[in-house]
Amino acid sequence: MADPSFDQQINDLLAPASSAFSDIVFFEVTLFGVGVPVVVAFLVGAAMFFTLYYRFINVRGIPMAVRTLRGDFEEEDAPGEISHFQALTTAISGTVGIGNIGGVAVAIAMGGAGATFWMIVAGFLGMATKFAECTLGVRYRTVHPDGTVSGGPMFYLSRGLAERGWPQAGRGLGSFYAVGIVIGCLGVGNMFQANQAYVQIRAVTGGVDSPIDGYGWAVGLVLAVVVGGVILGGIQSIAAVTEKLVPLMAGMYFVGAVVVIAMNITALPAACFNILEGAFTGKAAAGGAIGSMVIGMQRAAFSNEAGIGSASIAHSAVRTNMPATEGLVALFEPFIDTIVICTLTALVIGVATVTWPGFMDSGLEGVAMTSDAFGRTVWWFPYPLAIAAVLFAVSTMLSWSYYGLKGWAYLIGPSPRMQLAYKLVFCVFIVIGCSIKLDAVLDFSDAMVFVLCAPNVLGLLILAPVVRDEMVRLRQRAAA
Amino acid sequence: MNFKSIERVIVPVDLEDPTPDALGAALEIAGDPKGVHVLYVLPVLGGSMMPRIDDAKRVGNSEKALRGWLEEQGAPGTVQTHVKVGEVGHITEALCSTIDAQLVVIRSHSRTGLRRALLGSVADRITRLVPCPVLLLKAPRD
Repeated sequence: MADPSFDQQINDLLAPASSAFSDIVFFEVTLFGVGVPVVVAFLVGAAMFFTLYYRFINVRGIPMAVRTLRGDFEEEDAPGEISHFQALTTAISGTVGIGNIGGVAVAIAMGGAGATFWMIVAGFLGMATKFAECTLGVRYRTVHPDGTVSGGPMFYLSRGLAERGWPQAGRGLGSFYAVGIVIGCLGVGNMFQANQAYVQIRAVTGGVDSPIDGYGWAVGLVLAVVVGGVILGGIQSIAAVTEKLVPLMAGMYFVGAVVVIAMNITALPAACFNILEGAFTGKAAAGGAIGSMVIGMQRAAFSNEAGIGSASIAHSAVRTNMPATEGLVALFEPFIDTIVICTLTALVIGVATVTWPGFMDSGLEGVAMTSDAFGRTVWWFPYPLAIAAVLFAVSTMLSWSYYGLKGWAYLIGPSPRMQLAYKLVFCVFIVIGCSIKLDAVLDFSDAMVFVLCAPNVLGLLILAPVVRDEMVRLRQRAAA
Repeated sequence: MNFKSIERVIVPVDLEDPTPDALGAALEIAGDPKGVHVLYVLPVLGGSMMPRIDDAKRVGNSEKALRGWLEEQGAPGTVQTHVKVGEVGHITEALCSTIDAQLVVIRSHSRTGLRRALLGSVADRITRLVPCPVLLLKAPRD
């Protein structure tokens, strides 16, 4: 048996590095006395610009997005691998993850209830960002001779910018993004997911008295075997089962949250008031309203991936000749992920805070806090939640391993040997993620996510007219 | 080795980055285009959350793409095509035995340094595994 402090040793080794890295990425400027990370301001500013530039596509695009999902623009002989509906469900499986359960609790613990409000705002603005990146993902994708597709930020950055007369900048940004996603998928799409799945399993088996306390590496090993079974062993059935279970679990989570909120309905008005009041006054410790806004928006980006560009890798496989159709379908992703699911989580925590005044001081964090909020109303709820957490974690890890692999292939070509090496590293990081503390994992994951945002959002800004032209083309086609 | 007696030649091609010189050499050596077997090997895709087209469809699409490319190159329609899924070295070796090939013509990417260390050389793999002689056409260094 290994030394129980093995987890601690891994943590001690990696925590200082991830914290230093995070300090560099989240370089802050002071705004009204509060430190605002430049990269978060850039992301939110860009999302506001896209919302205005695409004339509130976040709202106005919905009817045509529904038409697209219904198959109105389906072309059987168009290049691509999957239908619009499949592309959306796949992308949602990757997006709806632990961030929706644990990430919301992190936001509220750090930024107060008001952070929820800003998460929702960021989710709404993020719809326009997602529209842009998924449209570009299809427009600049590569269709391989066998009919499979590669797309995503590395392709639209390199090709889109080349079209605008900056081939070198495009190549540079594309490669930078690819390096970022190769490393970044080990954070948000791997360690954070694995870590929180372990935390939830530990919580339902007794917390600090749990027999698996201190054995995060062992849980990580099991998760690594499951994920490795799919990506290394090609056991497609695990992926197929996960793919079917994730929407079911998301549905159950939705129902469960509504039930818990309904059972505490008297606390709901106060919970909503706290969210709105907190949004504009904020929690003093977090730096008031602006601090709350920064934290909420940061966690929203982390959850719905708008601006990170990752989901456009999945969306680019869609079967279509009209790139804007996929951009429209992608509008639903931040909507379902952030505006619906994250809000429900926040309300569950909100009613718990109102009903049990000492709730926020229980010392729990992340997914354990959300689980406690559910468990105080329905005692057995943490158990299905633990199953959901593991499933969300596995599906998100599988999706992100695919994103990382696409980045890897973009950088060094489709060498089977190097792909194998990458998959092995990915599995090792699952074990590491379960072994280190949430703070260290969050620091690293957050920082990597925002490293990805920089080249991606810059590219989205430069290529905004291309997206607008694609939308015009689709409107003309729809009118014809 | 008497090049004039060669009738069956395998030309592994990379449709992602196709170059016509190996095909041209093979056609010249074999004389009869029926003896030229153009091979395209697709990599095995690992499992993932992405639903996607299956291998049968991938092979079908690639066959179409390969025929299209051959036509573009002005190759006679009697040239044989093979599309397989697997590892390029072993697939080429198996095809060699099946058709009793007398020569494999490949064009090397001439990678050097880090890229070569990372990607290895397809030409090396094939040369090591196939039972027949290999004609390696060198590409200019990239």
